[in-house]
Amino acid sequence: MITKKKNKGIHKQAKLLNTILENIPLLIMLINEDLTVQQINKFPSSLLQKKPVKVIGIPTGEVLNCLNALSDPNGCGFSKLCRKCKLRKTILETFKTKKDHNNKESEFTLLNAGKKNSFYILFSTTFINFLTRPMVLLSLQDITKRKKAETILKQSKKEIEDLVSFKSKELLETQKVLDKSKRLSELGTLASTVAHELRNPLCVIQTASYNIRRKCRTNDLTKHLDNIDIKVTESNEIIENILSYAKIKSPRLQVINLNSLIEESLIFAENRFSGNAISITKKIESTKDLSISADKLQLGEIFSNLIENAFQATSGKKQPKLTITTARTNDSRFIATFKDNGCGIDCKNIEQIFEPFFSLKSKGTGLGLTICRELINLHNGDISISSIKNKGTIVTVSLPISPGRLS
Amino acid sequence: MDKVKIMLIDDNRVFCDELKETLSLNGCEVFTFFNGKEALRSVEKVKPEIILLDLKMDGLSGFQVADKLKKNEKTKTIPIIAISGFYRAHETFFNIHNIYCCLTKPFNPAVLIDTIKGAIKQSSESVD
Repeated sequence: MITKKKNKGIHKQAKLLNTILENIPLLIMLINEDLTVQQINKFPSSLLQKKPVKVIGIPTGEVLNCLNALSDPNGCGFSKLCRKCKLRKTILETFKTKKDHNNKESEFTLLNAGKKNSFYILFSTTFINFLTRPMVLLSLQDITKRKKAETILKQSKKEIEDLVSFKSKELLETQKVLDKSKRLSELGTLASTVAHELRNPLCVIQTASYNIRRKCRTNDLTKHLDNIDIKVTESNEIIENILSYAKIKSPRLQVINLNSLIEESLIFAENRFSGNAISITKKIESTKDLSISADKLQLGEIFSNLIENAFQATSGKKQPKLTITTARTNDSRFIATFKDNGCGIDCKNIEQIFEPFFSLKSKGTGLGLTICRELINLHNGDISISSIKNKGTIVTVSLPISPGRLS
Repeated sequence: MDKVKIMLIDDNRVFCDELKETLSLNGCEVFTFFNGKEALRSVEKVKPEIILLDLKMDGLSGFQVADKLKKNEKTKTIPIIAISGFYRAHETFFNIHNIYCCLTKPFNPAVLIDTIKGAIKQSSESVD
């Protein structure tokens, strides 16, 4: 009675174990010492192409449709690559040491639905004695999808890291630009305060010079007083320049004729540099009747500045020349070029020419071209300079005839 | 110029000294004041024909002084020539507070003399 009861209990246990075996979401195989399959569960696995009943007695590699096993006429274990097979090595190791191996990962190329496919497999091995024969219980799980997702995640992580690093660099650059403009803005405020304060003493000097001139009418003194007056005027020009840079404002648009503005600026420069033997050629006929919307004072300042630069650059030349050419482009822009045969600019300096406080002249504030560029930008225009040392310089100004929304 | 009576209001004493000399050399009678408050207190007594006024001063600013002068019946017709170190003051402060004109420092004293002459001429024409 007891034996019968025991048998019934064992039978129930076996049935339970069998149910677990058949329903566990793993491919489980009992492997013989010759690496053929002794038994297999029936849970459907993407790793198994054949029907479970047909794999009994077949080597493991062939059961899995391993490409190496299939490519060798002798089957699993005979290809050169089989020596490196991680699964094979682990099973053999388990037989030898009788020790379990858990959660090993390996990549296989399997023939799946007639196609070669790369599979990632997670497997564990356990040594057991079954019916007094040594065997290895092998459980396998297809983790290809997980691995692919991991690879994508890794890639994305790398991409995100790259992006973050790129954006950080960009941010750093922006920070640098901001720092620079902050420094310049502070410098501008400081410069304009100093400049402003210098006007009072300058005014006293000029008035005192006038008084001395009136009181002592001697030629000896006149020469010195003239020098004082010239230097006061020069100092004041520097101050004007600094203040004008610090106070650049949005343009006040009005319709202006560019040719007459250029003529006015030329007359202004000629008066300032009287005695300069420069020969001026104007090729401005084509834009004779062209008017544009712009700030007259600001454009006047730009043209005067560029013309004066040409006057200064050509002083000391044997035959100083300035050619002013204007044109209208098809895309409704006004182009003015100022070409001189003056001292030119060294190519190593041409990049810095628009930087504030950069000057190649002994008396410059280094703001003239900076102001020009700022004002031209405010009109949505462009300014470019090309120059050859000792040959001359060409400055090109391009302005939209209708500026649209101003920057 | 026939002994033009000028009130000079500027808190820069050295400048006042020099400018007083310049104006005297050109036949003007100059009364200097180093702040707006004192100037306003004395203006009715001095009865200047022209007022030279610095715009940036401690205490009352030049604008405040000009405003008070224009509100006073007895002083409202006196032409004011403003003097300032502000950027492009001559363009900015033209026609504010009935200021006749504004000179930006530093200026050529000869230009100031011409400006005074012009202001007196305009003032006498408007009285006629």
